[in-house]
Amino acid sequence: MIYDLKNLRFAYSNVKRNILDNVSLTLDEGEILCILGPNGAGKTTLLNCMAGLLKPNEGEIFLCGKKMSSMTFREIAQKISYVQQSHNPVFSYPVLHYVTMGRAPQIGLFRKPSAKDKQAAWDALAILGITHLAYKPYTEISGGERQQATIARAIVLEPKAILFDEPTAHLDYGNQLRVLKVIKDMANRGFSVVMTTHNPDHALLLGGTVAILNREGHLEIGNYKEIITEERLQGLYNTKIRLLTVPESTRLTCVPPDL
Amino acid sequence: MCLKPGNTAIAERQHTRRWPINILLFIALLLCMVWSMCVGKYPISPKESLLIIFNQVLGLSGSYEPLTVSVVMGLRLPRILAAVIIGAALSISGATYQGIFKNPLVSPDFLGVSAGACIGAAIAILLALSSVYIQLFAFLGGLLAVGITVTIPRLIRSDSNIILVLSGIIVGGFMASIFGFIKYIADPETQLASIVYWQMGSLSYVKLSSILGVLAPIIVSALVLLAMSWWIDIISLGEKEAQTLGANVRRIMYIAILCSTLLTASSVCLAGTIGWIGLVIPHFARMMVGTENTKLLPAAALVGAIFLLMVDTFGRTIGTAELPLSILTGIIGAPFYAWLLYKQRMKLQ
Repeated sequence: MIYDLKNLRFAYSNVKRNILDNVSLTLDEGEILCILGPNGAGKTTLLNCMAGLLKPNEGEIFLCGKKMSSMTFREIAQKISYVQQSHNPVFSYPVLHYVTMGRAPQIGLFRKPSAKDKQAAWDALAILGITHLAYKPYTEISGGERQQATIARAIVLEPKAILFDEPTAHLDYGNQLRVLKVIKDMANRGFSVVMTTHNPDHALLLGGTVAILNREGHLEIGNYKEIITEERLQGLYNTKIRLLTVPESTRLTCVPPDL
Repeated sequence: MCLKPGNTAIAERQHTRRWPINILLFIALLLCMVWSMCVGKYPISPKESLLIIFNQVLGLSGSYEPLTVSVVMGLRLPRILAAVIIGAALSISGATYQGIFKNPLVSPDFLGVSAGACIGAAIAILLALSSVYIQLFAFLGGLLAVGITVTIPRLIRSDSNIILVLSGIIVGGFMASIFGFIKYIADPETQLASIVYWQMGSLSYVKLSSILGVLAPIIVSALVLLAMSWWIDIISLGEKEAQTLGANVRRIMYIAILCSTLLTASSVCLAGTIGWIGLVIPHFARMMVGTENTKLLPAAALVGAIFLLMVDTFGRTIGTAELPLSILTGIIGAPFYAWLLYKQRMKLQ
């Protein structure tokens, strides 16, 4: 088991309500977990807790059987990668350099990446099929390419799990699907994946486990077939969403109501 | 888990080998040093000046005119060494501040470090303390100034580049007033001149002994920063992202701020405040070697050394009287910075 979250409660110091309330979940090797929830429900907060950036007020997170509260950033970073929502770095580092930074948890404070680290970065670029971007400035590639570069950086250390915070945000429809495909590939390679998304179709496409975090901070978790029901989606998004099977396809698809 | 890609990238892995730009810069620096040694009101041939230095270093007594020897050893050599050391120190310091504050707009001057170091030095002069204390006070003054500058954005919970720059302007303005007050109460007969000297910035009175006094802190700080330059890149991604990459952000920031402040303060001790170098040179070096601090810091050090040496040499040879350094760095630095901004189309957020 990679992750074992036990009865987490989390509240920001300046807000009264609990963002996470008695949240428990587990994540196995190679498992995909999609976290759905309305805006402001605390999906990012949950990921930040799982990445060790925030400390839960109550409960405990076990990462590979070890208490996370007793681990340093470096120890955590050696086990998991966290792909945060895309941002603009100030300095335009080349993509290869940016990907190599993913090796940081194994590099000492007064050291630089070795030839082995650089090779690992090239391998990660090759896996994502973006070696042609290696010397392009990270700030000057498209949003989809940037997300691929970030994923390359996330796998360069061969972590146990990768956390994605809305990996499809700000991407066009084609790039969203391509990034989802890459995420599924990563899970097939044995990485466990946790991702947040606003789109229930993404959870249906990926399959695996789905968790729904509501505004009260409660989390429901289970196989996507059990969790994603019309009733739940309608309650979650306060909209008459239908779940239908399109004749040409075997899987369920979300169909929004007429406006 | 397996990461086994095909060997698709072999061809691309042979990255076009850059001409070793740092070696070129180093040769240029040596040539500049020889040039600076020869020109001036008392021209000396390159061969003669080099022979004098060799003889003096090896303790031999050559048959040279005492005047020539004293111009080379007493005036030009210390001045050239100081220009090279200060130019390199301020450039590394500026590049480091820009990296760790992920802000290409900051520099030792804009963060108030130079002004703070200047005040520290002035207070030590007021108290009639020895040169070791002047150095220590300059360092503490610089550290205090940068401390206040980075605290203001934290107090208002802002991560914006502009707020950090504004905060530097606030601290700089405050420091200027304190400095005015120190000048006001200083003894005009004995202390005022040397305090103004710190403020103006000049290499005219640098002695070999004072260079030796600041050499150790400068070399140690520069080496530490060069050794951790790769981590400065990681810090420049932002605190949260650096943490998820396993960085001990606070420790790296502290070490980097201590070292770059020590570099600035040591420069101030040697020659007072010299503006623009810490801001402009890192940008210029970035255009030459790229943004990665592993390449940038050594290149910036060399470019900064060449720049200050050339400016100082022009300053003392261009007219009948010597032009103060701060005038020249401003006249060259300010338009140059405007050009760099235009060239880079820098996006401000």
